[in-house]
Amino acid sequence: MEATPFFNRGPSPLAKLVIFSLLSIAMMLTDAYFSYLNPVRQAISFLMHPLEEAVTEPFRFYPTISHFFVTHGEIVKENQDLRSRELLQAAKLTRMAALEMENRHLRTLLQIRETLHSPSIAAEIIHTGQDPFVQRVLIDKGTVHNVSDGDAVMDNTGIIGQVTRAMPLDSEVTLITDKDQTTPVESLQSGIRGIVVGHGGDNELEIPFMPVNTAIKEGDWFVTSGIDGVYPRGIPVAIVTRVERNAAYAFARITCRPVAGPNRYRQVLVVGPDQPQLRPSKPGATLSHAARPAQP
Amino acid sequence: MPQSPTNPALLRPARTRLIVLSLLIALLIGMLPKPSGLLPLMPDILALVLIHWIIYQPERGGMTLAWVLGLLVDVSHGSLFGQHAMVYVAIAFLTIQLRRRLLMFNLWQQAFQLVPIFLAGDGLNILLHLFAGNAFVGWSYFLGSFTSALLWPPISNLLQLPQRRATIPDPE
Repeated sequence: MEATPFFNRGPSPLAKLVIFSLLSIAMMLTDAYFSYLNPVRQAISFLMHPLEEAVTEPFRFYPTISHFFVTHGEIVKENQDLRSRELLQAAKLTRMAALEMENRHLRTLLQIRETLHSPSIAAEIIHTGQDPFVQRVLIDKGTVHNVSDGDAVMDNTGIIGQVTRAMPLDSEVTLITDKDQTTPVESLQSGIRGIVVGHGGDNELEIPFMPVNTAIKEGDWFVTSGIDGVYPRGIPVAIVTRVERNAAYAFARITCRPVAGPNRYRQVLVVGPDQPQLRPSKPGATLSHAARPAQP
Repeated sequence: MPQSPTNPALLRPARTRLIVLSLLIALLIGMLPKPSGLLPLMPDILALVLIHWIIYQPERGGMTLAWVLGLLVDVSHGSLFGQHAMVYVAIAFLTIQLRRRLLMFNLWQQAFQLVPIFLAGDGLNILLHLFAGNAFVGWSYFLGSFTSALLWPPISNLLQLPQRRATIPDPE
């Protein structure tokens, strides 16, 4: 028989509220500033992965099933293979366009090292945004498939975001529209480099800290600059929709819209860092290299 | 609308299997892909099921359960670890405080009284998000509280069914 409800068992609800709240706050702070809790999160995510798969699988295969009644199964399979191949080629094509632009700007004369073909992994978006606050999607490839934190994620039109939490079997991608998510870019038209910052919520991006007399115009394309060593060069990111120049402020207000969107395609491509050797592994080396031409 | 026996004494204790299963299903419903336009309107089924068990099975559904479920939601939503946990603990605490009063009303009146609990949960969620540095999503976020409350009568009715059927006396 159950114990009688007349007697209090364990701590009172208020005490529990305080204890659990403090515990939650401590965990949130740890999660936000350190990475101690990542193994716990990864373990839970690993255990919950089958459930997530089970729930999203019907949605993912619904198009396949509806196809089956019209065409032969093999044709559907072939179609899917072609589609994933098309995605890979589209990614290459967008880079081609950017490379052509690059040639036109005679950047090769500046003896920039030729861009390497970065390793890319085809993935699928499992779900988009459970939480209206954060602009994040979950993709079905994780550390097991060589996805790692910081990888760029693109669809066949351009960058959609960056892997911010790679878990064993799936990864979280923070979209470029998330608040304070930054993407280093350069303009195709004027070559001006800048940073695209997300607004959160609305489908808008901003390029801050541009002088009022900047050459950026409406309709300018911005592609990844690749200077950070995280994103590969030349992937489209944003198109300028509005430039507000007000002499009262130090900077122009430049609003853009993202080229790609996670709400358009399921298939995405996870792209690793383009030139690992460009990553600032040895800060002293690049400094001395830069300092050398200055000396006569 | 059939009047439900709201006095828990008339209900048989629920099987643990049912509690676990209902919570699991609610968790899975939360993971379903949703249309992004309707995201603020989406009810929190897991919170509803949790509140139900806290009201009708206070010995088993409690704040510890709420906290653990919140952690699971945090992982599946990709939010800060502990955020939904704190929200669910707060919801559970408020439910425990209101439990005896809620039992005196029928399901629709209960739904009306649950609105402030859901609003408090949403408010806490927004506050935590703002502290975490996320953008404010607009007041439409609170609409989910009302859809959740609207779903209270059917869901609570459904969860009471297995226990209630057993209490119907045999026609002799």
